[in-house]
Amino acid sequence: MIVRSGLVLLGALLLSACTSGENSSFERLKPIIEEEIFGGPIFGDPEPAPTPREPTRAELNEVPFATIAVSIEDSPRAFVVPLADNGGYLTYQDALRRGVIMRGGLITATQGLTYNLSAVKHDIDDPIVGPRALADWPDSIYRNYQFALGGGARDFQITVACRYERGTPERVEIIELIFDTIRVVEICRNTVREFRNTYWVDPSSGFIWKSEQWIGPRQQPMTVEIIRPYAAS
Amino acid sequence: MVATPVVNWGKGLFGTALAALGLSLIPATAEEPREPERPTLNLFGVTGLIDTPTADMQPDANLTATAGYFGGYLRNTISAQFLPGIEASFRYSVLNELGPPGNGTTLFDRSFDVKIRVLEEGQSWPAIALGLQDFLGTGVYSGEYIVATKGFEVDELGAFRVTGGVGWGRFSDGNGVENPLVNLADGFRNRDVNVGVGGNVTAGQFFRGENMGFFGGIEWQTPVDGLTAKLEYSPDRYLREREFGDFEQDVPLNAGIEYRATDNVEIGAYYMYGTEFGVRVSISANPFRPLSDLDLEAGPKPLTPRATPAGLGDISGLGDIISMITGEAPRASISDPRLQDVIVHERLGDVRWADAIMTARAGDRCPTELAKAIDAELGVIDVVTFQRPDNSPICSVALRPAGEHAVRITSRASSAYPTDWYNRDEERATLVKALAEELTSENLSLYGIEIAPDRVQVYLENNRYRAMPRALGRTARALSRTMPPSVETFEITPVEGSLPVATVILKRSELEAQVERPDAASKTFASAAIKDAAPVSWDAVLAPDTTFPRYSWNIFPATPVNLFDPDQPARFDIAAVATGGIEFFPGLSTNAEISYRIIGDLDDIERTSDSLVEERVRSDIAEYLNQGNPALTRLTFDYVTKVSDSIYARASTGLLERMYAGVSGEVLWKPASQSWGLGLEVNYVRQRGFNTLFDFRDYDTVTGHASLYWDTGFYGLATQIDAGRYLAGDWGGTFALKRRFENGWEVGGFATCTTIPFNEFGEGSFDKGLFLTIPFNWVLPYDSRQELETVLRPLTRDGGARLVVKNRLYPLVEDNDQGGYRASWKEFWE
Repeated sequence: MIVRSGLVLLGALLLSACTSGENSSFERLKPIIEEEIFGGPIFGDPEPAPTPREPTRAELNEVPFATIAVSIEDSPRAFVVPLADNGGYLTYQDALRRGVIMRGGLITATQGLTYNLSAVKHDIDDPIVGPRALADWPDSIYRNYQFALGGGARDFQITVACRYERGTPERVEIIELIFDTIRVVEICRNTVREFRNTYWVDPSSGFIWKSEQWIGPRQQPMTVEIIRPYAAS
Repeated sequence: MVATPVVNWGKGLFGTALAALGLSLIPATAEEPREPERPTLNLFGVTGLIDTPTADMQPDANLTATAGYFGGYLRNTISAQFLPGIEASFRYSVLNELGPPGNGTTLFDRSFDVKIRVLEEGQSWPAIALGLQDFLGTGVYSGEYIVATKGFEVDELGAFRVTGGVGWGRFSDGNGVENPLVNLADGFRNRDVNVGVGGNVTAGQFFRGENMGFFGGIEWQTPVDGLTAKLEYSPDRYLREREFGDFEQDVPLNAGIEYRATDNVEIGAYYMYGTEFGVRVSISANPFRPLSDLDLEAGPKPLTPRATPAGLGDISGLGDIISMITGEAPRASISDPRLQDVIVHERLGDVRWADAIMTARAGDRCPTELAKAIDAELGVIDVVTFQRPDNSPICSVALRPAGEHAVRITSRASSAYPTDWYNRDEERATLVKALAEELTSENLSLYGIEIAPDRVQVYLENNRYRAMPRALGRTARALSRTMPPSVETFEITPVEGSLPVATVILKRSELEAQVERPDAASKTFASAAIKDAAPVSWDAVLAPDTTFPRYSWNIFPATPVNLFDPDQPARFDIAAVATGGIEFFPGLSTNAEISYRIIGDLDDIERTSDSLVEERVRSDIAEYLNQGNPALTRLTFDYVTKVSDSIYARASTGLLERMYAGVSGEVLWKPASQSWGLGLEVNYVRQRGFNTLFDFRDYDTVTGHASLYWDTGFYGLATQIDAGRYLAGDWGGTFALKRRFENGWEVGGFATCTTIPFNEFGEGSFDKGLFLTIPFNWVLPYDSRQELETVLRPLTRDGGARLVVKNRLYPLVEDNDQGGYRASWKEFWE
C-alpha cells in the first residue's frame, strides 16, 4: 500500500502539468490520491457520500427493463439493466461503466474492474448458459476463462473441468420475493487450482435465480441475483 | 450420393466425439502463467552469487539498478534481461585509488557486460551460460567465463543452488591452471591490459591469458521468506587494487546474506576476502508487471447490434429462414436420395455452416428433417442452407443459437436497410454530433468524418489510449451506437499530428458476431483490413468541432540530469518547462518550448571540453547549461503532410534544439503493410549561442541521414540504421537496436562509428549509449500515452553527434501499421 501510494503521488507530481487539454492528470488522480494517501476526500466534498438505500421490490417493479443485482464480497448490491443484447450476451453496466456480460446464467466477462474477465468459452451443453431441467444437467463440463489484465501484463487463459454437486432444496429471498430452488455447487478444477460456483436453480426449468461465481484468480467471487429476468421484460 | 470433403468429415466426426465427451473446442491445459522465480544478483549488478556470476537469468525483460560497495569500490549497474537468454549490463564504477597507475586518484570507470544462456536448466542437467565481463570499456574488470548452475531442494531446509565455473582474465588470478587455448595458438598467452582510451570492444583479449581459473559457490534460499544465504569461492585476487591501493585479501572466500524486502527491492550484506565488509541494494522493475492496476479505467460502452430487419424471408443467398433449435432426434438419414452433396464451411469465426445441394427432383420444399440428419452425421452443424442444383437457395435452417445468430448477422449484412436518412442534411449533422459526443465520452476526438449510405470514414485523434487498437475498438462501439443500420462498413483512420497514418476497415456485421465472444480480439483482427491511409483534403472532411487555428500549451516540471562527470558523477536540475503551439491548418504549425531552472547544479559544471575534434558540436554542452537560463529550446515553424498513401514529408525551420537552429527536411516511406521503412533527412544548421536565445556562433554545417527502420517481429526487437553526415562533418553510421513492449516500454542501445578516428574522438572511442522509455500507464491507475524517455550516454563527445529534431516522422507511424496493431490488438475490445 505504501509503495502504491508513493507511486501514485510520484505520478501526480510528474504529471502535475497544466495543459490546454481537458481532464488533466491531477484531476484523474485526485480520487485515488485522496483515498490512498489521505484516507478519504479532502478536495471538495469532505463528507463521505451516504450509502445508497437499497430499493424495494415495488420500486424495482417500476423499472421497465430486466434487472439484476450484482455484488462482490460485502459490497452493497448494484442494480443494473442490460444495455445491449449481442446474440444472447447481455451487457449490464452501471453509470461508471462497471459491469458484467452474462450469457444465460453465466458471467462471461466483467468490465471496469481492476482485473477483468474477457470472455468464457464453454461447452455447447453448458447448463449454466442454456437453462434446462436440473435432471438433464450433464455430469461435467469444460470451461475456458480468458483474461486481459491491461497495462502490459500478459494475457492468459484458465481451462477447468467442472462437475456438479446437487444440494438440498433451499428457499432464496431476492428483494422481498421468495424462490424455491435447489442449491447446486459446481466444482471446477485443473491441475493447479480449484474453485466453486454456487447456483440456486429452479429445478424444473433450470433457471438460475441467484449465483455466486468465480470471475478470476485475482478477484473475489461475484454474486448475481435476478430481479427481473431478461426474457420476461 | 453424398460427397463431402474428407477434411470436413474428419473434423465433424472428431467434433462429434469431442462433444460427446464434453471436450469440444476447449484447449486442455491453459492456466495463469506462473511468476518466474527471480534469481538474486551479485555486487556487479548481474545475476550471480557475491562477487562471481551464476548461470541463472532474470525473468524476461527484467530491469535492475544495483549499487554494490566493498573495499572502497562502488559499482553502480543497470542490468536488463534483454531477451530471455541474454542479460546485458552497463556499469559506472567509482574506484578509489585506481586512477592512472601511480597517482592514487579515483578512477571513474564505465563498463558493459553481457551474459548469454547456452543451456536452460533441466531435471538432470544444469543451466549453462557464457559471459563477457567489461567487454566494452577500459577493461579494468575484464574477464570471460563459462558457468553452470543447478538447483535442488532439501525437504524442510529450503532450496539450494550450486554454481561452478571457469574463467579468464579477472577470473584466472587464483587456483589457475594453464589456459588450454594456448595449445591452439601461442597468441592466447598474451592478454593486454592496456586498452587506450577505452570504450572499444576488446574482442582481441577474449579467453586469452596464461591461465584460467575456477570459481563457484552455493546459494541457500532459506525457509524464511525472502532470506538467502550465500557462500562463494572467488579466484579474483584484485591484483591491481592491491598494487595501487591498500586493498587486502586474506582468503578467496566470501559469505553473506540477502533479503528481498519486497518483490522489487533486494539488500545484501557480505564479509569478503577475510578483510572487508560489502553491501548491495538492488531495485527491479519489469515491463510485464505494471506497478499499478488500471483500476481508474472505465469499461467500454457496449456495442449495440442492429435490429434484425423485418421480414427475413428470402434474403439473398439464404432463402427462407427457419429455426429448428429443438432437442428432437433426427428422423431422416444423410443418405436420403434427395441429397446430392454437402459441403461444410466455417463462417463468422467458428460457426459451422453446411451447404446442402439437393437433386433436381427434390423440389422447392424446405427439407427441414434433413438438416437434423446432417447435423447428426457430420458433427456439430449450426446452420444448413439447402440449395438447388444451380446453387440458388431453397432455405436456411438454423440448428443452434450460434447458427441462428449467424443467420441473423448474415441477413443484416445483406439486407437493404433504408438509406433515405442520407439525403437529409440535418440527420447527417445529427449523426456526426452524436458520434463526436460518444467519442468525447471515451476521451477520443472526432477529427474528421465522411458518411455514405453504407459506409463511414472516421478520422480519429487518440490522446488517451496507449494501444491504438483500444481506441479503434471504442470508436467501433461508438459507431455501432450512432450510425444508421445501413452503414455496414466502418473505416477508421487514426490521425497522428494531423497525419492520417493507417486505415482500419471493419465490417459491422462481423463486429456484431464477434463482440463478447471468446477469442473476439483475434477474430476481429482476422476479419479487419489494415491499409495505408490516403492523403486527405481536410477541408472536405473536418468535423464541426475541429477548427483552425487551434492552440495547445503545457507547463510541466522536468529534471534534466548530467551523469558521469568525474567532478561530480550525478548532477540534476529541477526546471519548469512550458510548451506552446498554434496549428494554423492541418499540418502547419508553430511550436515553442522554453525551460527555466528553478534549482539545481547543472550550471556548476566546470569541466571544459578537451575534444580533439576540430568542431565542438556537442562537447560544449556545459556552456549551454551554464549560460542558458531561461533556455529557448525550440521555436519552429513546422509542416507535415502526406505525399502519397505511404509517403510522409516534414519541413521545419527555426530554433530546432538547444544547440542548433536552421532548416530541416525529411521524407519517410513506410507502407502500413510492411515491417520496414526508409527515411531521408537533410538539415542545414547553425550553432546557437551559449545563452540559448537568439545569438549564433560561427559554425554552420549541412547534416543528414538516410535511415532504414525495421520492426523484426521477434520479441518486439526493432532496429534503425542511419548513414550520413553528422554535425561535425564526419561521415558514418549509427546502429540502434531496441526491444519494444506492447505497453510502451522500450529498452535498447545504439552505437555510432564515423570517419573520426577513435583516438581523435577521445575517451570512449566512439559514440554509444542506452535508451530507456517508461510509459506512465505502467505506473498510473489509468491509460495514458505519456512516457518518460531518457538516453544514457557514457560520454558526450563531438564525433557521431546528430541533430535533435522533435517531430521526426517515424515515431508517428511506427505503431500504426499491421505489425504494431497486431501486437496490441488484444486490447481492441477492452
